[in-house]
Amino acid sequence: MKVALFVTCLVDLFRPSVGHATIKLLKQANCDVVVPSGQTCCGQPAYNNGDRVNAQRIARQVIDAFDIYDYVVAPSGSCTGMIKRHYPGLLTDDPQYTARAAQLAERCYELTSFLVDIIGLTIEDVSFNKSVTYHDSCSCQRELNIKTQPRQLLKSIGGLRLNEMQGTEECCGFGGTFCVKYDELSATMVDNKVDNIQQSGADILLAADMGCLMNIAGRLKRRDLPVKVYHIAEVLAGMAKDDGIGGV
Amino acid sequence: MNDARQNILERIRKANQLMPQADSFEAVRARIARHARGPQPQWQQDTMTRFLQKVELSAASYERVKTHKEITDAVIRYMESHSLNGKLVCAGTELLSRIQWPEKLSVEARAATTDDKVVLTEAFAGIAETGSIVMCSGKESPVSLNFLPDFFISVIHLNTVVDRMEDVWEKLREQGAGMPRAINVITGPSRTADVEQIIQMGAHGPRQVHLLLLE
Amino acid sequence: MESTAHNFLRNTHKALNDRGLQSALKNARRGFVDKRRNAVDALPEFEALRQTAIDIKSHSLLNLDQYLIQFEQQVQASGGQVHWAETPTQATQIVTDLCRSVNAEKITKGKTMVGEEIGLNDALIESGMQPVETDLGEYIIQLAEEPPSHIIAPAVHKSRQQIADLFHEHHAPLGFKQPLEDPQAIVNEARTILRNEYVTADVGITGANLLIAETGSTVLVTNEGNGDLTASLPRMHIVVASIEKVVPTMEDAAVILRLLARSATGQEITAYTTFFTGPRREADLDGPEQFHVVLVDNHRSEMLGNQYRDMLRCIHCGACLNHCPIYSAIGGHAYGWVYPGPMGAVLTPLMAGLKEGSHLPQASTFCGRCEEVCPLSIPLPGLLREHRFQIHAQKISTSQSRWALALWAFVARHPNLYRWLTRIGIGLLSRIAGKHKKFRRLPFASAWTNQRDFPAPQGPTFMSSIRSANAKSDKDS
Repeated sequence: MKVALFVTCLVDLFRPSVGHATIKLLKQANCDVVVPSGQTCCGQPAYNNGDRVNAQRIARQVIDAFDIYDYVVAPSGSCTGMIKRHYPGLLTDDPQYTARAAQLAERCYELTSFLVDIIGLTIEDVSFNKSVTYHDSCSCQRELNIKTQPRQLLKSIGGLRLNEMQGTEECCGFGGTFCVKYDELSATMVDNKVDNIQQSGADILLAADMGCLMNIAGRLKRRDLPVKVYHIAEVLAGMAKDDGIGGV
Repeated sequence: MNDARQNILERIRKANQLMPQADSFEAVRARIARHARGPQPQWQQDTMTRFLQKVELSAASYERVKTHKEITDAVIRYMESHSLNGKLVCAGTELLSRIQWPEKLSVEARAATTDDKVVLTEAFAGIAETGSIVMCSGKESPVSLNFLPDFFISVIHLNTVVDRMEDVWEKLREQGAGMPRAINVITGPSRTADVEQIIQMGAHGPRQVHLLLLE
Repeated sequence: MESTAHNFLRNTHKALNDRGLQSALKNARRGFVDKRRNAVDALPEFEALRQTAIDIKSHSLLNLDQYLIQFEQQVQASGGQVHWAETPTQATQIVTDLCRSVNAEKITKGKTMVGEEIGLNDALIESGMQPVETDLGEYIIQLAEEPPSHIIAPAVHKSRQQIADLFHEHHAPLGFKQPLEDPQAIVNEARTILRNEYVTADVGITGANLLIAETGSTVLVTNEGNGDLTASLPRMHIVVASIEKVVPTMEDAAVILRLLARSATGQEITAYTTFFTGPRREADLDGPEQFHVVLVDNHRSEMLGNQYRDMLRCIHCGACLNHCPIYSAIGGHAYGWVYPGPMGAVLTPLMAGLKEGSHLPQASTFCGRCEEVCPLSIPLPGLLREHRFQIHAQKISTSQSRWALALWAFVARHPNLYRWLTRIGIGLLSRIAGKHKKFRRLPFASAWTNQRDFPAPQGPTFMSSIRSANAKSDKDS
């Protein structure tokens, strides 16, 4: 099974260990992993800021780089959502790419969903002796219907205690450029999320989306709270060894 | 003003030309005539059990009656227990006009005024799905009776309680008298949550609803 | 109504720092969400009803001209009249003319959002008439001289103390000198005062939740019964309704009604669901002598022909507002015009102008809860994105943000350049961070660091490490 890794721009730039953890997990799942060099971004910044033309150009670039593989896996709900749910509509008037966009959409998976729904991977010999709470990103929950898969994977991690927080269905306030364009509003939303995390009593926050993680980590640190933040891939691969996103 | 009508209709037609085929005149007429129902909510209990359960949940009260005497007794008891003086406004339906009221009670068949505290009406039908009663306006049932008084009592024939709203529409069509000025589907007393989202009864319509279930 | 939507940033700042408002919003939010959730969970047929409702609305919109004509014919056959208005001005002109024709002085009103949209109260007042709101929430904000802040619960932003104070201020001259303490007393006082208004009104104006083509009926859904008193006691009943409200049959109405109350308040049905058809009949003992329906277009026929068509499925339940994190944070007034929340963010640019309303579609994370709870599955985030496409194309966004975007897109489209720039940029950031894992302050990123620390990069970029690994393995092999 030839699986291409769509590493995503935030992982590439700010947290490469997530990319390495993803590769490790995919190899554990007996996948032949390739990292296409022509990848940069899925195009969401252009798409969500009203620049349809550039969004289309970037979508074509992604399709060109990726659609020759059996599967494309991304450690991100929002990038996966972009490819699966929005590429087809974006390129609906482009006869050269319509079919290819639909095909890529079929083959693209968010990491936890790929590991559970396609591979059925059981994780063995990984421990993480901590109390953890899990944040479901909006794209995972509502674009991709992913909720049980990360929890199922976390169950096989030795010593991990999952404390569910209230309001898992609520947005963390990242929203791409929203968090800087409407920063006061965003701060209100992320404060709600941080309050819920505190109330859960967990020491660690996990999620499958770097945007959410950086936003929440940033606010946790600003509020001087000792919760450590990792991407779920790092914990699943037994690679969550440092102080996490933003340190402590 | 006719310009506005023409302009609006033309814009609508032009907009819909961009969509897949709109229906023909006949198709639209046929669709209306079919009176097709959407998905019908289902439940376990029989019609009456469901109706009474929902009536109670709607904060309305009820009691069963069989005869004219039981109706008058029930009404007087209700009025006494709520300290209402001996004045009742009654709908002029055939059933209610035949009732012999005791002398001490003044009963008038007319529209309601703001001074009227309690009324007695006769419902057209009941809906089990929601515990609602259906009132149709007419010379025998002025609509003000449903809204102005504080206490609203209604006789409802058990055999007019149907499962769903659509069953009431069917009944109305069978009667063939066309639509009345107002059909009120009433479920419990008047209420509001406009003050801090806490529900209070008796916002503008009746504070209490009491049903007399007539076999 | 005059729009202040262009002041969104200032409005938002004010709302976020208004402690009373924040407390009221917090109180309301959980209630609406939980009640809806319970009602939907208790109805296994909800999804099927939703799908049927979508079909009904789509069919109705596709044949809107026929259904409006059918509706008009039936209203006329039952003794009523239908008037058509393309614009708010036309609509208010028609209403004031009708009122003047019966020498109306006092006019009672049921809650009508379309009435707000066309500025009806102001027009009536300018014509020397006195509109009196009868829905308790609308009455409260009328006293406060404020617009509604929610399409179902207009005074959701007010505390009981604020309401009690308002009542004391306005009712004391009428003889109600006792300051009120609890919600029941407030409701009782409103009931007493408004009773008199109902019976002394010359005209009653209501909205309509639905128009039914088969019978020429207008449907009104309330819990208070104020709509019925407004519609039944005066000599004339005027219904103000927008054109997309029409559905073919009474059965179609039943489908939508099952979704409406559950989505709005979590009830299976409201206390009063009324079907009005024409004026009083000859033998009736009460009811209005005249029945008029004013059909309002105001951009809806336009929407029918463009990418916003799906918005016309809206049944005004308010579920999108109740689940929106933005609405929950700032309340309705901050949106600056008639309709708040996600539906308001779609409608305001269309009705008050794109430039005027341009903040609203941008102030969203596209979290998607609105679309998830919408009983008609309206693709609200997608419609907001359409506004963003227009805002970009019409250069309404700042040139600064457009340049930044264009730069990012250019670089993203050139992977080698991207690789090179990011390697350098991340390297630089890493060096500045040193052993710190975060930045408290970062030049050019103050919008982020005003509210959050900025996590420092972990090290060299992933792609550069892969490249070196590939290069190494190439060398080795």
